[in-house]
Amino acid sequence: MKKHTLLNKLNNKHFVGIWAIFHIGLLLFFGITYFVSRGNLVIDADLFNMFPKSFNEESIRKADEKLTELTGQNVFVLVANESFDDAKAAAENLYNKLNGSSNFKSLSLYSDFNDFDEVVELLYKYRFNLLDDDSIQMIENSPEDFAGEALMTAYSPFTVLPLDNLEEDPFMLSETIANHYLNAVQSSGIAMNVKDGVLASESDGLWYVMLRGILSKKGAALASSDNGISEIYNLCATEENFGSRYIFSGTPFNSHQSSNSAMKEITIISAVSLGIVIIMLLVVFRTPLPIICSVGSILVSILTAFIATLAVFHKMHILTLVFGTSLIGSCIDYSLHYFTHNYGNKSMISGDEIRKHLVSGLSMAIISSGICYIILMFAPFNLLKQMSMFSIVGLISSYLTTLCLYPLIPVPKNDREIKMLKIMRPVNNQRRRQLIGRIAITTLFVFSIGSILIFNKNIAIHNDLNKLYTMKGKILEDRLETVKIIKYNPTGWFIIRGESEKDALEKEERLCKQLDEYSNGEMGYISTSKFVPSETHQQRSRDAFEKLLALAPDQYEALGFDPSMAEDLEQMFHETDGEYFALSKSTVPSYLSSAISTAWLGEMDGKYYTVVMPNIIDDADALTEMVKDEKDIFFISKLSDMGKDLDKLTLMVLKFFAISYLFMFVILKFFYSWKQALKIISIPLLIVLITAAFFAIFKINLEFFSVTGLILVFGLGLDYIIYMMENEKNKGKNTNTLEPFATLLSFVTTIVSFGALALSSFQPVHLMGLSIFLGLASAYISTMFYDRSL
Amino acid sequence: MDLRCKSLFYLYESDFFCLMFRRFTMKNLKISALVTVLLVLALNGVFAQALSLKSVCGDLAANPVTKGDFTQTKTVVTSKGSRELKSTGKFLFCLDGIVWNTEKPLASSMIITPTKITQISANGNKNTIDGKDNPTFASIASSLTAVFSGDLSKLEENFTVDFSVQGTEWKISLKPKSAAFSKSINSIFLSGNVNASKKAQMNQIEIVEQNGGAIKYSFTNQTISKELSSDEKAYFAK
Repeated sequence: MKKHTLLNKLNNKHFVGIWAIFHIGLLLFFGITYFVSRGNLVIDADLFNMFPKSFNEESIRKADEKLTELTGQNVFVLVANESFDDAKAAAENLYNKLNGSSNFKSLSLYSDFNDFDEVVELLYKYRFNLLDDDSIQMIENSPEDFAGEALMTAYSPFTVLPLDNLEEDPFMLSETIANHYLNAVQSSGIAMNVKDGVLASESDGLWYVMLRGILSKKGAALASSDNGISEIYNLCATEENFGSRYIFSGTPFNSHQSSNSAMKEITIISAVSLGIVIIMLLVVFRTPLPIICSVGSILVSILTAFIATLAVFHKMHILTLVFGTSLIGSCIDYSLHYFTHNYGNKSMISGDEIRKHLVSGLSMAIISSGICYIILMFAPFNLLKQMSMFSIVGLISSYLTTLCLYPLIPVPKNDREIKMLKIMRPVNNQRRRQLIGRIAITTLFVFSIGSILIFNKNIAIHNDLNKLYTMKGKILEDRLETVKIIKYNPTGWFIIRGESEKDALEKEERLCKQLDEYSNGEMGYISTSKFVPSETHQQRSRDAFEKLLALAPDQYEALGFDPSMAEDLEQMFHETDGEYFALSKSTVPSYLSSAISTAWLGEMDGKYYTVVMPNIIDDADALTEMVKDEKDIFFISKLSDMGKDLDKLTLMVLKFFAISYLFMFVILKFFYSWKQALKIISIPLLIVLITAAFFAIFKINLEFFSVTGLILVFGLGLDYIIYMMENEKNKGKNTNTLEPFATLLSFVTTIVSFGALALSSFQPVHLMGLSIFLGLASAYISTMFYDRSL
Repeated sequence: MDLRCKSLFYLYESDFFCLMFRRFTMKNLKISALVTVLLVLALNGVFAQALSLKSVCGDLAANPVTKGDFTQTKTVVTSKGSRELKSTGKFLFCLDGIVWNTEKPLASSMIITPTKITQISANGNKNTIDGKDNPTFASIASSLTAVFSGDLSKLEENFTVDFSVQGTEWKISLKPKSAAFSKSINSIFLSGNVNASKKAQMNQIEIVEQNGGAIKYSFTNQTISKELSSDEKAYFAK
């Protein structure tokens, strides 16, 4: 490497200035961002947000996100008791305590009994427009049959609607539409009912009363301790429940659980990693100073990484923090290299000398790691970007602390000996050592390539989201019980796009027909057009009614009215010509538009979107196939779609890996000879081969998170060989065992922190930890055999 | 996966769906109230003895199948005054439910069971409302069973019951207790007398609605049998 001419011109003050500019600069940046965003910087604990955004068309992705946003903050509490009155009393108690809480945007227990008149009025007002397909068809085939059935209904023992409007509605159109609406509601999958003013259901001798709520922004901030979910849990644990049991449902409860367990894991992983590292450092250096400095460096780097990531992204996923704890291992590497020389290298009498000695190795190490992380920043996946940002800033902070601040610590004058250094005995027989090294490296290559060839059938890129998060305990029990009670479990939905409201609803009506044909009318679903049909459909309804007008005099007579009333009816009909029931014309009353607010997404960027959501999906592939030729209808099955998207992303990450690989080789060639560069660059290849071989032998799929782990190893694993190469250059300075010792310490500390990740119960963390563990072990072992100094 | 929960239950956000269902329930309640009352009274032909509700219950199981003619008079209150719609036909009620065969002015049938309501027009068109997944429907059905087995506490659970006797004439008035019920129905009146065989007989039911409308059912030519004929069983076949 070239001489550090610039380095020679800088003194400690300059270095402290560099450190301060970086850290204070980031702090200021964070402060400004916080001020500009008015404090809108949040920790995201939603499990689903950690996954990559769908590869669907941008507009459909936006529509899907809007749907998720609309439904994602809903919480439901079922209060179960053998006695309905006790269940209701407990629900009322809970409702009264929660009502008015700033954690909830809305909360409802009671059903309003005054609105049904509004529904009747609506059905009556648009009675000419809202006839369903079957009724239209019946009128088209035989208007007399339809008129006859209307009479039959009027004279039957019971009707859904009161007959108050019989004089203006002799064909009982409102009644027909009400029946159609009822069927549509029933087909939507509702199994709860109104009892004594609340939504209730009875099953297996138990009454369930439902409390519904939508979390406010404050209530949904699960990272804070006084969020809506915690409030519900606390009240349910302390308030009078009249012997009732609470069943919780809704995404926020699951997110709360995963967020809590993630926080617990962060604590455990950090504590265990840090504990082991501290003990190790105490044993090695026999003084607390390196520990205080290293821990200080880690804390500063994590804090700096945290504020920088939050300032750049405004929203940081909690899992970034989990992965970020792995920084402990990387950050401490730099400290270890410094303190190994500080306490063991008698030839260096000042911090400045140690800095000059380490700067090339550490710089190469941070460049190699940084390149890998920077490349990950280009991945179309926010969590990866956040992790990369977090890691880059953390590493730079630690790098600067090591090179700028540590040299300020006075070098001990006496007792500069690391006793454990004795374990690193130089091997004198260079030829024998080279032979062993070559045999070992060849064996590793042969073993990994051989295993991959033998078990190649086990090598597959496959991400199964069902395996990533498994509900357990009360969350799982509650979910099973809820599905049993409400009999509703949608796992996918259709998103329909149209140029206008009319166009979107027409397409939706066509899809609904397809679904009815596909399932012989057995599939229940919620859709907008069942309640607000397209203008085309409404016109068909009006055209059909016009055919009935000729029968109106007889109809009136059969009902005991004056036949001349038919003229008024015709006039009434024509007065409403051109009047349509439409969402965009605000003719839909608020209670109905709010009812279908999650099915009707409305206008976004000049297009109109609507959703059809089947109650239960048995065969998602069949539904995907059904609309595969439709350019404006998309079937979204989140779990399987996300799995497929992750597969694509995994492939993409592997391509990124290949690009980094070539890029890194070019960079290395600038600093090292061909032979050295080839040696260094063969390490990542070996890492990938050994890890892939291990996964193949143990039938572990190459999943997104394990492949991402390999990318991280690429950067970290190169550090070892770079340190070793730098050490080779320094031969003759009596330091040939110090650097390998520091590298060994680095390896052990890094493997401890990543090994801890592999123990995580959360599959993505576990997979990433495992692949990093395997990769780093491979990197270190191969580096050891490559090295000629030992 | 919590994704499922993201979409789960969103329907319940809206009271509109609940309202629609309530109306469905209201319809069921009306029907069920009538079914309950019919069954209670038809199967309690012992009013003439002690003419107490309790004694009536004792004989419930004695008349498992009751048939006869009915006249239904619907009083419809419109903006231009009130109007009556009259229909006649034959009825049948038993443990399995009720069959309502309207003959005039238009032939049609309505079959009501604990799990569904089916309306059949003269040309055979069928319209069914399935209530098997409706817990209220199910709970009403269980109340019905309780009535059949003489459990009047269920009837008293839903209504404030008033029982009066004048000579051989008796009358029961039922006032709904629940808000949901009373929103639609003001009261139900049941009346009858003691027949020649000293058995109480129900002659009329009147349901008075909150909007001023009313439905009156008059029963004549009642006969009691032990079991359904094969043709009658077909009404309740699944």
